[in-house]
Amino acid sequence: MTITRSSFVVISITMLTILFLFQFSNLSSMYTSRATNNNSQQQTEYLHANETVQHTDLMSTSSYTTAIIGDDLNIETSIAKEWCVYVKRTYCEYKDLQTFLNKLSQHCKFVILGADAVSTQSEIDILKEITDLGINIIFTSIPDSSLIESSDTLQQILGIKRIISKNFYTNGMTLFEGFLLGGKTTYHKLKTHVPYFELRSGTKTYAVGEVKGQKAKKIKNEELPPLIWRTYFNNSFILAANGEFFEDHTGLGILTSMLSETDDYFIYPIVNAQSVVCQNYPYLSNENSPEMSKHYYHSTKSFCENVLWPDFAQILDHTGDKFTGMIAPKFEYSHSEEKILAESIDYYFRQSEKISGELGISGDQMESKNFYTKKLKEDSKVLKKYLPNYAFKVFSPGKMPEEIYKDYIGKKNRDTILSDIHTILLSKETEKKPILSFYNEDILSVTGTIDGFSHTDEEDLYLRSIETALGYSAATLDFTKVVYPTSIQDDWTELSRNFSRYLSTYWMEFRNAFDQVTISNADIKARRFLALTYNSFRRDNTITLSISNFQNEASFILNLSNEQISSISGGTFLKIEDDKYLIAASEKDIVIRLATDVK
Amino acid sequence: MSMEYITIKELIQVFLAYMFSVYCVPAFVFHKLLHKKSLSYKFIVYTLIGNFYMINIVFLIFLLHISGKLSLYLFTVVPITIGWLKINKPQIKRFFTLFATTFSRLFLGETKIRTILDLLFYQPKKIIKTEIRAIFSHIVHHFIEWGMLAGLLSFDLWYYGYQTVTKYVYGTSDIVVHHEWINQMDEHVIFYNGIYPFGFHNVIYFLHNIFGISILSIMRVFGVVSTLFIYIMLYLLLRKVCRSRYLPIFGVFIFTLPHIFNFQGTMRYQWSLPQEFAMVFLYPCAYFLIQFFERKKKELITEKELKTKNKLYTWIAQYSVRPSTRSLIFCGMSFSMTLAVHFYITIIAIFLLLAIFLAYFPIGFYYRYFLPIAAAALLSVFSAVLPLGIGYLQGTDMEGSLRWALNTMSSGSEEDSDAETDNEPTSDTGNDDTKKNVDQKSKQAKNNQNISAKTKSPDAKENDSFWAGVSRKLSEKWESASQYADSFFQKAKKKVKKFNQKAGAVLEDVYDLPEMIQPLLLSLEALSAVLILFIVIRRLFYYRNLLGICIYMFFMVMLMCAPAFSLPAVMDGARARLFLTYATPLYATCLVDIAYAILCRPFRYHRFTEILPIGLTAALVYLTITNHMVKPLNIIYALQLPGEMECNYRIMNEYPDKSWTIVTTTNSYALIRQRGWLYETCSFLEKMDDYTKNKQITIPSKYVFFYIEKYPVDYGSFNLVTEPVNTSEYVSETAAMEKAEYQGGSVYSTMNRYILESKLFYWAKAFEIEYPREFQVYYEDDQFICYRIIQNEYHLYNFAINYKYNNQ
Repeated sequence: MTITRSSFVVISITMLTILFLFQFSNLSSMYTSRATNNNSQQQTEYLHANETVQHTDLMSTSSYTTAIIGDDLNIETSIAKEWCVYVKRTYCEYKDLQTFLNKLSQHCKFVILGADAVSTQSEIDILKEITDLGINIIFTSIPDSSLIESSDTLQQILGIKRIISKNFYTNGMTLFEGFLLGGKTTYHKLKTHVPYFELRSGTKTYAVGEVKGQKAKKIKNEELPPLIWRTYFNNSFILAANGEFFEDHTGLGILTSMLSETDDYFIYPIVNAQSVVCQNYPYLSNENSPEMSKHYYHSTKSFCENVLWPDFAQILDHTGDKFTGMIAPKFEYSHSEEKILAESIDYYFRQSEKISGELGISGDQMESKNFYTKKLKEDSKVLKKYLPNYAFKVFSPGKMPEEIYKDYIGKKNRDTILSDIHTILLSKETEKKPILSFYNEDILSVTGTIDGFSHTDEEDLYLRSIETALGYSAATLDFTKVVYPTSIQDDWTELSRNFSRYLSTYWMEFRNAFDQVTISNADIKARRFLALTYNSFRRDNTITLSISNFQNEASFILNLSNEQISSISGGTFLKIEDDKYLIAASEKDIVIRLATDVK
Repeated sequence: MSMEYITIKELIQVFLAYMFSVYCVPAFVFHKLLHKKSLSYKFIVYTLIGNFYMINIVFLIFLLHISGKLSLYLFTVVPITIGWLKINKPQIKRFFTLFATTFSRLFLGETKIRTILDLLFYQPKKIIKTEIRAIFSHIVHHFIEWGMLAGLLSFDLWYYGYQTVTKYVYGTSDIVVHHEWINQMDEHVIFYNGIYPFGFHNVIYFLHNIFGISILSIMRVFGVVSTLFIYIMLYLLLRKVCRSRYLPIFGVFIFTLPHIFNFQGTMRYQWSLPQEFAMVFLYPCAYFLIQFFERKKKELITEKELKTKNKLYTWIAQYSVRPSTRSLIFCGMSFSMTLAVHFYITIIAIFLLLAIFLAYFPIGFYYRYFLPIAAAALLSVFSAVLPLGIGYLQGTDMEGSLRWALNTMSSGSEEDSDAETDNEPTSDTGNDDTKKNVDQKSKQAKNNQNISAKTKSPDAKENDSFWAGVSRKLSEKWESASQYADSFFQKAKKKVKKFNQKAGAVLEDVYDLPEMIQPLLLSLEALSAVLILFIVIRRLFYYRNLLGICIYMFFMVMLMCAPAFSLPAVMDGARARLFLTYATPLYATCLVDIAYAILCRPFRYHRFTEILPIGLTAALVYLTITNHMVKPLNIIYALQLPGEMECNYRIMNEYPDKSWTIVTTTNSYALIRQRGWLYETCSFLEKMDDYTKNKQITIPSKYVFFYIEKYPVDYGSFNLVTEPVNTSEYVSETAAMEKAEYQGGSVYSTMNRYILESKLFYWAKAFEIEYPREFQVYYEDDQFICYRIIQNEYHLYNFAINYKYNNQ
């Protein structure tokens, strides 16, 4: 068979056309890419600290709704104060119960106190007096067992029938459904020493400790050591946490859940943001290549671009999460001869743009403290050279001390990569810091809530609590250990598998319920969350919610008691789990109509 | 969805399911055999076959210990299919061959899809077309009949359905027991409380399993459905015995509309009870026995004629079963069903059949009649008792009420003799009467002797003239005969009057129009006499049939009045009243029909003469309505509040099975047992008495509902169905303070119930304070409140609290 000349021409033109059509999309995206140019983009209007509700706005001595009793330095107290900011409750802090009673506000609905606040009979009497007034009490920790044993009144107030053991070592903990988000779960590794009480009727238990050999000892479920419970005494609800729940931000969610257990409905604002942050990735150099080659048969650069990125992008694509990368240009600034690679910059910025991700800058390096300043300077020099039109908005200091970056961050006149930063992402270890707070007037500081490569019982409880209180999480994955592996556990196959399964199992419920965003978007949402105030009331089956300082969007969680939302105006709703709804407000006035829940 | 709507929906569902089972399916199988018969005949035959099959197939699968949905479907579908194939011979093979040929021609382009469709739908189209045409044609030709009957049955539907549609609850406590027995059948246990005629239960079980309708739904409305059948059976029997075509409607009218009967005579039709269901099969017994006599007579005449013509064998060969035998089979079938459903109806059926048998005296004793009847009786008793016997042999004891009934019947004479001694005034009166009679007879004998002595002396004096003597003797004989006749008539009249007076006093408990009792009794006696006369003169079976009804009516009157005449009481007055009430319209129609038969005979019962019965019924309907004589709605026993039933329904619909518990009295136990759990109010409160902090009550289910009667039911009392259910006062603290009884059969009776409900109410109030978020009102109306609490199944609530009234 021979091909005529005209046929040959036609076939060639057709093939060329097809080739062009296939390549056109790639070429056009290359030429129209704005990945390395965000200066010309419309600037987002960030809310400033003075436009948001801060402690100073909520503190009141006359019309507070919540009294916090305890030492100012006490972690429980600071958690309670932070929580008041998030739920927009006016509060007042008192050193002891007597002072509180003397300056009692008629608006006061809640008293939050720790074990230290109750140590004498007179304080117990004050507690009784408080319950007579119908003020609900939240014990962030349980008073001394001896005191409880000696005082029938305190036992009655706490709903304790008898003390079985003053110091009992639990074999784990079971958290029941309906308290924190995430359903019922048993933590076998959360073992702790707590007093073992038997509670009287009229109490509702939310968490219990496990007892070793429960079956053999013929202990009923109802007789397990209570860890969190509610009882009713006189005219008040008493909520008690028997354990170390308020040692960190776990207390935030517990406070929120406790508060919601005192009324037939409870609506509170949340951030509604779930992020995944890669600390020290993208990595722009080729250090530690010999070690990496031994392990992966790839140079570091090749491994990061050809293995890490496709794997990671696929995981995120599967779960719908948004990518936020904290660029680590280099790890070794003293002796490494490896340079920051321009082609890597180009590659990652383009890839990130493709998946609608975001790139910030990491503060980590592998050497001594002295090199942090050098790192900042060198990074600024190189990145400014290759990315003249790109302003980094997010900074994750990692292990960089605050005293180093504080002189650069947000300082336009210093002309560094930190000059345009709007968001600082702190690691979870800095948990004394609030989850969301303003670093200065412009910059918002947010903390990571979970390590993306790890999931322990303690971390799970912490995550559930933060999700319950704020609807916020930032899973941070530190890629330093991938580039500089120290053990077999640092193998990427292992790490990526862990991350993938955590995302699609333990954290899935939250990702289904809340928005998956980049850190910058989380920042915007957090600022809006901090700015708003709200007011709600219920008449029959209708809840009316009015939002002040409403900025385009706001999210709330509505806790009901065996009811369901039948309709809503001014927003949308999504059922997170039984009796818990996410309300996404699109207007400042929302009307929610309820119906009896049918199972 | 409101309960009223649900109930109406369920009523329609159950009606359709029952109609499908007892009419459509038998019609599907047997229509070829019966297609030439009248609609009424077909209806009655199909109904009997359908019910007979349902009852016995359930017995079979249970006695073979293979009960369950699958076996029921298998034992239903397979025999139906085989029966259909055998009877209708649908030539399936031929159909498929034709279908395959046509289908293959489709690919060859020799035929069109339309041809195949025509082939497929030819038969169904033909059947539907014919049936629709037949129905319309029937309605057009029987428009007045259908219209009047539909009107009256609609009234019955409203009348008997009113209670279940507006109050939702069971109207009498017996239903709960039967419901529980059917529940047990679902768990593969028949004769749960012992051997009992389970026909009714089998039918409910069948409908429940085949159609997937819940037992509760069926039990709530089945009474209404079966009552419609009872009315239809009355109509069909009247169609059989009456000369007029429209007078049967008069009978239905008498039983439907006017306020003639005591309310207790019809109240049970509102409820789903075995006895009332068995009444469906009562009149078919009479229908088929009468038909047997008619057919047998025809057969014998034909047989005689053909024998002379030597054509007998040709005639016999056309029948595998002779028509008269068929009638007897159906008669036996209905009789056996009365026995399979409720023994009391069997007693009444025996009376009914005996009455007809007597009316056919002496024909019935002719061996060609008697032997088949005796054989049918034996077979029907055998077929009904067989399942019970097998059950008994399998080790099940007799059910309490059955044992009681049998004991009563076996020791009935003793009790009756006791009754006689107890009723001394009555027996004394009887003895006085006997004494008086004896005295009168002896006096009469003496008088006669005196008279003869007196007449003897003139005889001796005047025996010379023979003729004079003869004439004198004749005149004396005539004189004595006339005297005897006169005294006999006087005595009979006196006796009848006395009987009527005595019976009339008793019948005041049956009829709400006392003035109609004496005319009714007199008419019964007169009609019986007239009919006997007619039978002697005209020898028509028509008169025998009417006489049979009259005798049956007389039996029913005697059944009711037995204690008054010192006769052994076969059943108590309350039940006898039901049957007498049901017999009255039958008799009344016969009474009017004989008048019609006599008056319209000259016109040869032309269609024109039917104006009379139509006019009579229409006029009476009009008068009944305008004179406000329409019978008022019946009564309901206070057993449960409507709110409780509504809650049961809601919970069953809204919550997963076995995930919930209701805390209430025992009334809802059988109703919800298959779907959830019940914790008795008594046990709940008793466990909390003398409260200490160590008391513990846990209920191991996720959802717990507390039923509280704010106005506790005045248990067992009754009131008009139009009024709210009888209750005590609103729960009170005073009552809650009192000590309650927690054990015994009367713990939920009025006073103790009031205390219990008060305690539970105040417990709920106290519990609500401690759990305001969790302990919620799930349902509330003026009389009833239901609280719901959702539990953490891993950590249950302790419901034992100090609610102030548990520390006596």
